[in-house]
Amino acid sequence: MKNIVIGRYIPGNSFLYRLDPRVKLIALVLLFAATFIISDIWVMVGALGFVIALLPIGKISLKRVFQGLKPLLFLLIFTFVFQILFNTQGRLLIAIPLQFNIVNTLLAFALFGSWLFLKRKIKFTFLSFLLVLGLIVYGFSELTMFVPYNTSTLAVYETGLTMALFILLRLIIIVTLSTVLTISTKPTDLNLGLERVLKPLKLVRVNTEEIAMIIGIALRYIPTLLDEANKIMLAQASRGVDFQEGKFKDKVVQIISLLVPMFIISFQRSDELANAMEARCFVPGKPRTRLNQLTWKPIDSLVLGISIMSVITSITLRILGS
Amino acid sequence: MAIRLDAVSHRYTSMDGSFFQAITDIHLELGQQKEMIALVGETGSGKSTLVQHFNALLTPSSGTVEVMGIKINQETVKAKSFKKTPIRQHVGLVFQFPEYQLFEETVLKDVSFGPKNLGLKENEAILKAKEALFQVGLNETYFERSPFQLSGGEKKRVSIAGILAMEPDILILDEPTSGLDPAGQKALMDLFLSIHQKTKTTMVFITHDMNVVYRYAKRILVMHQSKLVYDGTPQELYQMPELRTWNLDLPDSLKLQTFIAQTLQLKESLLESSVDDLITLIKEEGRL
Amino acid sequence: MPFIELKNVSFKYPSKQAIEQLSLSIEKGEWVAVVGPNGSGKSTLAKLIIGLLTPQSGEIFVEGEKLTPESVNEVRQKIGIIFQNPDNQFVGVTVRDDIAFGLENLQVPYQEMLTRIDTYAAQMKMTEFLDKEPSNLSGGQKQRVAIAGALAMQPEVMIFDEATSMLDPKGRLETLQAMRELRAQKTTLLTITHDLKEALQADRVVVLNEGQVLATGTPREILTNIDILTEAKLALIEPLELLNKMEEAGISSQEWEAKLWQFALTL
Repeated sequence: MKNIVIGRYIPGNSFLYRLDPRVKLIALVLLFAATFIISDIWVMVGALGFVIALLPIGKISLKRVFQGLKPLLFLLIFTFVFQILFNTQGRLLIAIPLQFNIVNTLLAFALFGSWLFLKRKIKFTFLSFLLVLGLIVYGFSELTMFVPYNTSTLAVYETGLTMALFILLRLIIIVTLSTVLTISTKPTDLNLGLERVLKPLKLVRVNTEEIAMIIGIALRYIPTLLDEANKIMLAQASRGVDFQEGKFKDKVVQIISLLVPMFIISFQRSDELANAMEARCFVPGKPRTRLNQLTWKPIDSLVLGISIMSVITSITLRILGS
Repeated sequence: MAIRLDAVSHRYTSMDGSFFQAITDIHLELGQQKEMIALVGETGSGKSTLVQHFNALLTPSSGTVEVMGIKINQETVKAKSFKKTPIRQHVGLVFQFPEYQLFEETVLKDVSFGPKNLGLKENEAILKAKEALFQVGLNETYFERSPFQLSGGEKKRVSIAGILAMEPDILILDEPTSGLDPAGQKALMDLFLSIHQKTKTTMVFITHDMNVVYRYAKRILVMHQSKLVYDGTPQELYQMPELRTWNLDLPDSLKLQTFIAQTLQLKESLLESSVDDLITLIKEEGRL
Repeated sequence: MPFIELKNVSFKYPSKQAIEQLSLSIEKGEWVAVVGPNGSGKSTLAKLIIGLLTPQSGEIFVEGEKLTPESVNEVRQKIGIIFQNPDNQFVGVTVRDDIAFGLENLQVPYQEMLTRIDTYAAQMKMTEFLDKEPSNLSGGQKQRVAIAGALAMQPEVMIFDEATSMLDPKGRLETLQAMRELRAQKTTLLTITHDLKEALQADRVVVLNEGQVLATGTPREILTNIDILTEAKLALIEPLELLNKMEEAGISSQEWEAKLWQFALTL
């Protein structure tokens, strides 16, 4: 739980924190769009530089953002490797002949297996993974004294490499920007911003205010319900439920023993909450005034302007480039 | 030796990585004397955290808990052979809200859940469940009813039977009387007393109600700001000047006795006087 | 004209009768305590008055206006209610948001909202907690937030539905103190409780048993009457038990009575 940084607000104070949540949401969408328009690798590198420069200015620690990237590391590597291996356009950069024989295949499995086993116990999981990967490739290319059952070539092409880098950079930018948004915006503000940004949907009869109310109450009750779930688990553990053990049939009963109380308690809670809300004159769909007002400041116009400019720039560069 | 806590501390890690010290350096022994023990203290003083160490729901951050000879600390729980279920059979813990544990279609099935988890066969478990239900004063007419359609007091009894059916040597009750009306509270506490007298089970109950402590506890534990600040008889506790700092109240009976003593300008304390004693006293002394 | 009036009200849940042919009136400025065992229909009564439940027969009037599906919202503005579980009535993410919730529903203008939040948070001594989340508050503090939220809507009567029963002694005292302060400001109070020490503070006590009014009268008439209390599965509180026994023994005097009564109010 502790490592999930995406979606977690961390109190702080900088211009990013003070921005109107509407602007943040719109800017996020615009910048996402820009990363999909950019077609030149150097412009993409520049964009990443811009995003990273944003962090110290907005007083957001690089470490926190990196923690946000961590759960996605393997997705990033996978897309990267996939692009390199299967894109065969452009100039051939490297070609390593590979021979697959019993010995180096077994060695590869052994290396990967021991990495899987050790990864919880050692630091630098990612670096060690790269090391293991390198050793495996080395094994396939150099340990060729045995009878091969198959041969192949590890070939890296220029376009493949650029495309791989391209997608990698784009993903990093998107994840970093989203992390910045959630770190610097309170869930309630985010909710309010979303409600306002989506207001045009009212034209197609989507009640954005009610959706926002539901999200707001969910945000309010998530900690309470987590606490409750924990207590239910402890109460059933006191009745001898061992959640680590048990056959499949036992597991089903164990899960039911948690779900039924959870369901009943949540139901009771929402019934009482609905009563309390109604007693305080809440009528669904009726217009309400709002305590939380959003105020548009000059900085908001500036940020919005910069975001629009980056989209225009990326379009221009794309047209000029092609 | 039943339960022994040796220098037990527990701290929780919250989502943002900060720590919260819930209990600090607790030394405690209980269970040899087969007593009714009250555990009191303000909200947030660490009462619930403390009792969750008694049946290994929590492992101490430092220090050792010993339950029926089984040592529980950061090292021992890591062993593959360490099993928590036997500890939970020895020490039964009933949570404050019966809603936390009731889940089966019928009362009888629900109460037999605990014994079944201990490895008992269906028919044996049902037998234990029936015994436990009779013990808490629920007869055959309740067996096939849904636990969710019972009154608050009845649900509470079913949840207690669910633990009693596991035949614990020590029974821990977290705020057993909360939410009940005065008649329901008295009936339940009297029930505990009679079970205690019959089965010689050590009982620890968490409560906020000093009147309950006054009537039912032989020994009292006071938690204050994560520390165990008092372990002794209620009578001595009532005399202690620290009572105020621990945010504890006196039982109504004692307040009344003190008030009468002051009104009659008596020197001696009237501890342990009943209303009838007071009447006699006022008859003798009482012209204002 | 009574402020709240119930005429022959009956209400039945699918499984059981909760209120049967009940008539009751509450005058403006009065503090009425409704006592009775669990299942006597106390909480149902509160929900009927505020229109969360609709009686199968009988009528309810608030300030002379009949409670109907059309009038219910107008009537609710006149009544603030505090429920038993402090967690299940906290709607906002922070104290400030929660106090604002009712005001937003009443479409109180923004500036007015700010003033009212400040006023009633101060009255309930919650000013320094305005930006706190409910998980950082004690049960008693949450109840005070609920009271501030209800008061901010400027109701004419406040109902406390077992508002102290889930609190620790400190929270209970805080909430009782809030009730006394409201009383001093002449707010009409209806407190529903099985705590007779709480009922002692009221002007009038109504004993409810099996959905009907068993007795009504001053605390002195009701809370020393062992027959009524026994029938409603309630017990005498100790100073009043002493007072009763002193009377039996013929050693009571007006002075003793006054003193013991005064003492009972401090419990």
